Amino acid sequence: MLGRSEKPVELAQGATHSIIACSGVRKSFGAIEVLKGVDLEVTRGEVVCIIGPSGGGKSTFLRTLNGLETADAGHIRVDTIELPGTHRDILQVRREVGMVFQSFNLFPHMTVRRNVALGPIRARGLSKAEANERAERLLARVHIFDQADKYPPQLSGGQQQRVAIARALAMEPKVLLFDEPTSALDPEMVQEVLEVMKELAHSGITMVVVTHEMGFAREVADRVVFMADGNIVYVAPPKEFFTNPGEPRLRSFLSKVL
Amino acid sequence: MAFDMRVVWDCLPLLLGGVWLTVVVSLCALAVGALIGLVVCAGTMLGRGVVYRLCIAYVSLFRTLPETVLIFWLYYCIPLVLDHRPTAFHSAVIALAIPAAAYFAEIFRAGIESVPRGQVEAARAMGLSPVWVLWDVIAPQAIRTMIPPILGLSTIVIKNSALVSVIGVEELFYRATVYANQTFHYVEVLTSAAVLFFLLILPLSVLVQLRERRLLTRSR
Repeated sequence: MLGRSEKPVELAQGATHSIIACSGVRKSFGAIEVLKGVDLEVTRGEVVCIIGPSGGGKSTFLRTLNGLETADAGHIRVDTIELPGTHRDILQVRREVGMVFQSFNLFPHMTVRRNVALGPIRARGLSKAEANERAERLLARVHIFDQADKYPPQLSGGQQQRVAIARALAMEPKVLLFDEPTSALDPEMVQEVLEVMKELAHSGITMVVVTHEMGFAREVADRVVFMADGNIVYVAPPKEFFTNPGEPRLRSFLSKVL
Repeated sequence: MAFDMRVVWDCLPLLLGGVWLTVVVSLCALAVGALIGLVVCAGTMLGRGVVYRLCIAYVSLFRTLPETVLIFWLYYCIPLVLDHRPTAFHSAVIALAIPAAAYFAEIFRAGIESVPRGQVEAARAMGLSPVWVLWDVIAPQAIRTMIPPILGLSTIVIKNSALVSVIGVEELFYRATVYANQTFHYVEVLTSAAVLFFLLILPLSVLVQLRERRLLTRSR
């Protein structure tokens, strides 16, 4: 079952400090500076949505949070682990930070169950039986239990993305990152994925979501971040963010997408 | 002229013995070639500086050198250069393996590069160590795409194995030419050899076609 009561102790302990803290994060690809010194803190249990124009650095920033991209400068702390760090630190961060990709990236040669169980077996030391049990529990949680023995290419996009969410949850991460999770989906499948994400948000998991779904951000986010030209331009709770933004660039962006 | 089936039956035991050696030479050459190819592939994908350049050079050199030249060179020049005389069998295996390795290296590289980047990222994002990323995600998908070209390369190596008759390895084609020269039944004996090569390679090329069709119809 979903519910905030699942981890009361952890939430109470963590309420005092942030689970993610970034300062001055910079990243260049060749001559192009994609991130120009990004600062952001995320509190335990918080849902942060990042929106902004394409090429603004949203995805790159998200990918620095689990070490898929290495920042050229600046500091990132995830829970107690600092990046940049050793090889071991990066593995550790990735085990604490789950990621859901735009293009699902499920492993096509494994069953759905194996996709979800793989991480716990290889990186958490669970037995096959324990991992399969966990996988089935999580597949039920994303309403896709009956597809456990199929292979990803046999599923619809929406189903694949829900499996990908279960796969990320299987590591029992402290934070979940979503990189435009609904952008590659056919329109009729967007809702089923957003529904699952809403349920997760209400269960108290910390989430950082890069998205173009303004409705989702407005409804679910605790804070919304506007990112453009490699910087965080504006941060506010959704109500203020969408109704009365003080930032002209955000206003012009919203007028185009809403 | 008449095609004398009796000659075919007479030479068949001798030729079948040759088929055995053809298979052994080819399999050894493929095994050694795959091993060298793996090293060269690692060098082109992970190597830096001299190692990288050497491996690239290996691939381009041995894909352009005629096998016959290599066979003669190894058999006749190695004793002069190294003061060691390899057997005809060893020379044959190595001469076939060296160019096969160049193709293997390219097949391995292409197979690994055919695995979408997102697959590796997803595995890394789960916190899998590089060994598991390779074992669970890259290798199974890469090997599937490698199978048709490896089967194709195997047919080429089997065909090229007829070339080692020039240094006296008594494989199928060597035995056929010797028998034909002695009996003057060129048509019967050489045709028999051709049919045996065909029967040896046919299953492989059918397999290639089946695998390729499966790869094409497999959706991602």
